[in-house]
Amino acid sequence: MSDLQKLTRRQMWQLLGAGAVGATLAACGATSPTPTAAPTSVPTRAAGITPAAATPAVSTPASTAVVAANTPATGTRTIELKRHTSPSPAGPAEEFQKRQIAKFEQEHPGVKVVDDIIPAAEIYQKLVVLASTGQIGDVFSVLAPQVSEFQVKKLIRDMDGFLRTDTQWREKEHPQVWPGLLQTLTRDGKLWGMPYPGHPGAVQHFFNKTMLEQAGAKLPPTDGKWTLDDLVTILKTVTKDTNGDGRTDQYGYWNGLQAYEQLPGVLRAFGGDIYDADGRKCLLGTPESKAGLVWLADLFHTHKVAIDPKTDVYDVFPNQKLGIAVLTSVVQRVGNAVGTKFEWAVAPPPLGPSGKYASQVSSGGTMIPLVSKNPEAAWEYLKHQTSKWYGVEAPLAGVGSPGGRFDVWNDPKLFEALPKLKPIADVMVNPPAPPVGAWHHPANGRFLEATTTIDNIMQDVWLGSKKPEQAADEAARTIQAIMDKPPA
Amino acid sequence: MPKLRPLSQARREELWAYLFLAPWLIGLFGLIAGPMIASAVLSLTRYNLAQPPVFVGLENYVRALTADDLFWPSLGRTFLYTAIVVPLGVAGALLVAMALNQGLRFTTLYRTLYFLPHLTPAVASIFIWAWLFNPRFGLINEALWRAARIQGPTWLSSKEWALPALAIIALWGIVGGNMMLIFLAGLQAVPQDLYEAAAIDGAGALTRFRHVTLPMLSPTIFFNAILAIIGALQSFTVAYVATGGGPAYATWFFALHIYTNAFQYFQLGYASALAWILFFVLIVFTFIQFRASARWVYYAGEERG
Repeated sequence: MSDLQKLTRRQMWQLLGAGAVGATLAACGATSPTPTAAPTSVPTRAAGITPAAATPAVSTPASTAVVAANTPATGTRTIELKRHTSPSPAGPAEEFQKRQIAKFEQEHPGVKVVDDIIPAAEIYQKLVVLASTGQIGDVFSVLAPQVSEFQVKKLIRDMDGFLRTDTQWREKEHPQVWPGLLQTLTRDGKLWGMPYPGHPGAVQHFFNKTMLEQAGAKLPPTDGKWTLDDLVTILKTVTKDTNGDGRTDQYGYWNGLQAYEQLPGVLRAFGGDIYDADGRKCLLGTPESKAGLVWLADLFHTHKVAIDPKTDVYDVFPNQKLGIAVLTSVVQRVGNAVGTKFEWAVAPPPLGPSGKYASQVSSGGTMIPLVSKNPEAAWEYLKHQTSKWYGVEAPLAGVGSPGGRFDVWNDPKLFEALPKLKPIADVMVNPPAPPVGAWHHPANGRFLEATTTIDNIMQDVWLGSKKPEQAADEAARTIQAIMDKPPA
Repeated sequence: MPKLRPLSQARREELWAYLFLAPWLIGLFGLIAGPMIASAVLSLTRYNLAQPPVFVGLENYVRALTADDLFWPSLGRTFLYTAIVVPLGVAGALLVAMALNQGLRFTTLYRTLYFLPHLTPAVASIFIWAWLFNPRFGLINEALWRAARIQGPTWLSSKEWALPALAIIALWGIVGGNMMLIFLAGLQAVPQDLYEAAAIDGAGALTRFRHVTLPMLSPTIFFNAILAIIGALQSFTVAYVATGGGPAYATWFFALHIYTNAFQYFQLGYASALAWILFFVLIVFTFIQFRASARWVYYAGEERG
């Protein structure tokens, strides 16, 4: 009898099962290529945080030398710089991306930028997976606080080596970048990415001038000389039932109140915050933070002037259901949504009991993976994206906020096209304004875990099912436990 | 070298059978059994994708059961959601099937219309429902106000109403879906002479339903109930799309908890442990149902004694 005839069904199943188990265990045991670069996690993009096109850096002797070192000699292979990015909307934004890449390639002959387009909704997960498995390209961006996750995972390269050798950039360009942005991207004494774009946070008060005037409310001053009490007075005047059906249909205030960006903007006005500067201690339980939460809760439940944070602000504000929306520097987007329906403007935030207004720098961080084969070329691209040209031209093309640089927020060309941003620049950015505060976040890279948890706990406050002080204590305990966990 | 004997007819047929089964077997081992074994191994490790897995034994399971603030609440919410959706879904599908079994005019048209929600892509239908449930501008609250001056809840933004709202969205697709079709087939398989005999004995409609329809349909009900419970316990899409698990964790289903730990926080070892815990929960539920079925499921021709 042949061997084949001796094979029973039981034996066949046993063989197949053993084969599957063996193959699976072999796959489990194989270690995925671990990039030696510091890891940076990719946060989901917040409204208003879109990677602005970077202005191409002016060619300097130092940068030229770096490029020359990278640039292949005539007749040799072109360097392909792989950039991971989300798609640009068709129109001026898409045109700008082509223009900025063309400018970079023109200034860096021998380097060709190749885009890997990833849908925005999936970009974070894909970047983490690509970086963790060593398949990532040369340049990618995430929200600035999530750079830490990639850093603790040891997936990205620090910038210090480049800054040491690139004297021109270090001495002439780097000082223009807001210190708060650099602080956000610095961990363990090293800089782990370059910031783009940059604005003073989700604290900018966009107001419907027409609605406020019709309601008889005082307009928010553009010189920043107003208080939280002044704000509440305006909100009470504007909130009303406009059609007499017994239900409020015009609200004074919208704030997304998400922990990653918007909530700190209010807490800081009271001297509080979510995290300390080191990212090792949660500050939600401090008296100052609790005071900020109480003030916010009062807007919903005492004064009843705030609309549900989950409401789509780009629906209610343009449709004149809302008096004041607290947003980032999205003047282009709001302008497009509002059109000519009514007059509107942007005011700096009011002063809090601390005597200060709130600011928390907002930005993405662009990084170079450790596995990048073209780190010098990638550094050139980072400089290009962080340059003044990029920081001015991108918002003019409708691509997000301006670059986080003093010379960008002082550029007349920017304010010719976006005059509504001028009050923000005058009061919050340009001297004698104090530096825009850094974006604090957990040092162990668990930014997403912490913000998701805070958002859910705080919803109990906005819904009125928990007192702000109680929620603050609960959040402080829970978030501190997350911050005490090992690195992500 | 010994000469190979030709294969017998039976052996040849056997080999052909395995050949035709091969694609399914490859799928079973490659896409189901293999990943299950992998996740079982990963559940015993700490693994964040960037570094190799580190064996930690049962630490993930201990953490889930004793140190995860969201483990028991998410399991509880999932059970509550299941307790709402399954009975209503099964009963609703049975009622619709019975209505369609009356032999009325345009039955085929009605059957198609009832089945349409089931065919609508889940994400698209959830977005539409989210607009219907909008507290300020949605049709539901507007209708409640105009009809009875009732200020409707904030639905998906309300801790109390978010889960019922998700149940409504789910039921909209379930009631006219596959369960209804299976019930319809089951109803049409009930012998008419049983109804005639019952009618002759003086049984009214309700009595015939209770003593003829339900017993004869009990295997179908049992089948649908098991699948419905398994599906409800694994609910993910409706919570992920409509509420993201909020507000304040009100709709933080267990499957969402697994997904978040795996693909947001990249705690893959821990998420694997959670997945295996859910698997065992499903096994326990299914076992209980099978044991309980002896009391109420009637198979025609079965003898009980």
